[in-house]
Amino acid sequence: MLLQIIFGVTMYPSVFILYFVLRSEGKAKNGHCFGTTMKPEQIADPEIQSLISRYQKTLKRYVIVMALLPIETFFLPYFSIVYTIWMLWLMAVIVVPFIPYVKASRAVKAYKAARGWEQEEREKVLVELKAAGVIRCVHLLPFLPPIVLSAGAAVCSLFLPGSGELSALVFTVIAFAVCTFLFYGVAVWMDRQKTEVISTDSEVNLNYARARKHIWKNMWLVLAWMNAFFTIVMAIWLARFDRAGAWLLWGAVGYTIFSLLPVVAALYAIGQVNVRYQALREVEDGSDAHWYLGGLIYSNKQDRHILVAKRYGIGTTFNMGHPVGFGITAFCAALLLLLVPGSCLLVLVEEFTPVALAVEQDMLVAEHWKVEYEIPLTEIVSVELVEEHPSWSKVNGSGMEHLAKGTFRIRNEGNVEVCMDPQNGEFLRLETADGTYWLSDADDEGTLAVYQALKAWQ
Amino acid sequence: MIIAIDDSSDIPIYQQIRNQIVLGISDGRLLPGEQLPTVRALAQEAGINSMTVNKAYQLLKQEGYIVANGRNGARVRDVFAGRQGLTREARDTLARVISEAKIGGMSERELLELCARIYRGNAD
Repeated sequence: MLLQIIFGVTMYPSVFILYFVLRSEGKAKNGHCFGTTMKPEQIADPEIQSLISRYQKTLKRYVIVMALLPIETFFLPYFSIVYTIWMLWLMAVIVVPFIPYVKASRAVKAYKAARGWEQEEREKVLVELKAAGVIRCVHLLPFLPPIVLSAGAAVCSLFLPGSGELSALVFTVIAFAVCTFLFYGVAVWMDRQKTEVISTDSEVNLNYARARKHIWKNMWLVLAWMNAFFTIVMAIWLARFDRAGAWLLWGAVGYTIFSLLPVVAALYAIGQVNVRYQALREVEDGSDAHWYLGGLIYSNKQDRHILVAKRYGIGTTFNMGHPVGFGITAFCAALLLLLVPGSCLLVLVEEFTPVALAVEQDMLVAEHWKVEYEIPLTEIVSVELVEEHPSWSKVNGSGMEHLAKGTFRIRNEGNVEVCMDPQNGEFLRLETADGTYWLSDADDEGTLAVYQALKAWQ
Repeated sequence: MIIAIDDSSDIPIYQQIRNQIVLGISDGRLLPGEQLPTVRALAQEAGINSMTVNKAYQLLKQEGYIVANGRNGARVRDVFAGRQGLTREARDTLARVISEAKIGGMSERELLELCARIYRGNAD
């Protein structure tokens, strides 16, 4: 149930966030309707209004269906199945609610063409001369303390006692520390993006760009500090507490939720700036021809910018006409399409491949996919057949309904090596010169047979 | 000041930049002595090659509209008093435009009125 709660808390809100974003983008404003430029009188056309209304209803239906889909996972016992459903659901949530948006966008474009509302497309790129290289809100100095603190925490974690055993956690601390620096990099990158031209008055363009860049800078700075704080907390936890793995998991859930706050605040502030400058907006940068799928995808081979401000809504989008922009998008999409189903498949195979235990040529061999442990019989100090395993927490490895594999920590006893099916009724507890092992075969008969073989050898 | 770059135009991009900066100076959107962005900054902002912007700046310097300002790029020339009318190329262009107007049925008076309006910064 813990797993379902974690997935529910971290992923379930995404469907509602996306619903509110798409519902907002379905409201014709800023001279656009579903990413297509339109005059206010054209937006007021009864057919367009009816199209908007139909879109809102369809979107609601899609979202209700999507919201109901993962509920059955709360009644499923298997980690791998729960994980697979949530991951595939998340991918569907990212794609499915856009279907009514894209359909509505096509319908608007078709209606616009049928009514002869197509305007002369302007292919000119507008550049605010006075903004070139002038508006720079991101500087290294404010970002330096969180970068240094994160780096310090990462270096300290390398020298902590027991860091060798907890290499996965040390790696996580280092990865988070690198993220702080990456946040600075992304902030610089966004700060150097082209200034959006919304008016013929340079002062308006400059103030608009300053306001937006200032908000983005603040967001990345807050995220950098939050990330540095979490990195330090992780390093301290790693040094002081036994159940580092479990706390790290809870910390990551909390961190994910808290890190959304500055993002939401920034998006809200950008929205407010857009509202304030709405009356001053008199110029449209770029033409409909470069925007596809309802103003969502931008592709202009002549534009050398990799990242451009979204035509509609808030934020930036890649220029698919630029080889780098296309490459990054294709790479991310391919990665997502490979990694998510791939990880589901791996987890399913991991959980449903039975463990195996056998005595082979004076060696006790524990297998799951591959040989996990090979223990020479001469090194076994004692062997016990037990019917219940103790309470433990996973340090690294797999902890599933039918599989416990890897290093586990038992309070007041320390780390033990495990490769067994926790649903069995018989387990072997072995003491060796290297440490303690908890092992089992796929079923109790197998475990019992191995136990008898070990006893006979002794 | 906004520069509009038209990729589909027959006029080279460096020439478009040059023309619009000259226009900006003439109608007061760019003031004498005003700092212009560096070649790199303008190229990055416009999403075009630095060489193209550099070519436009070189042309503007050669024609005396802007002066180099060390590492800061360039600035609009303070005084244009030393300039004597139009260059030979500009005179040729003007002759072509007048010929086209004449063939198009425009009278001398209409053409001069249009020139006066453009000169005063009101082309519409």
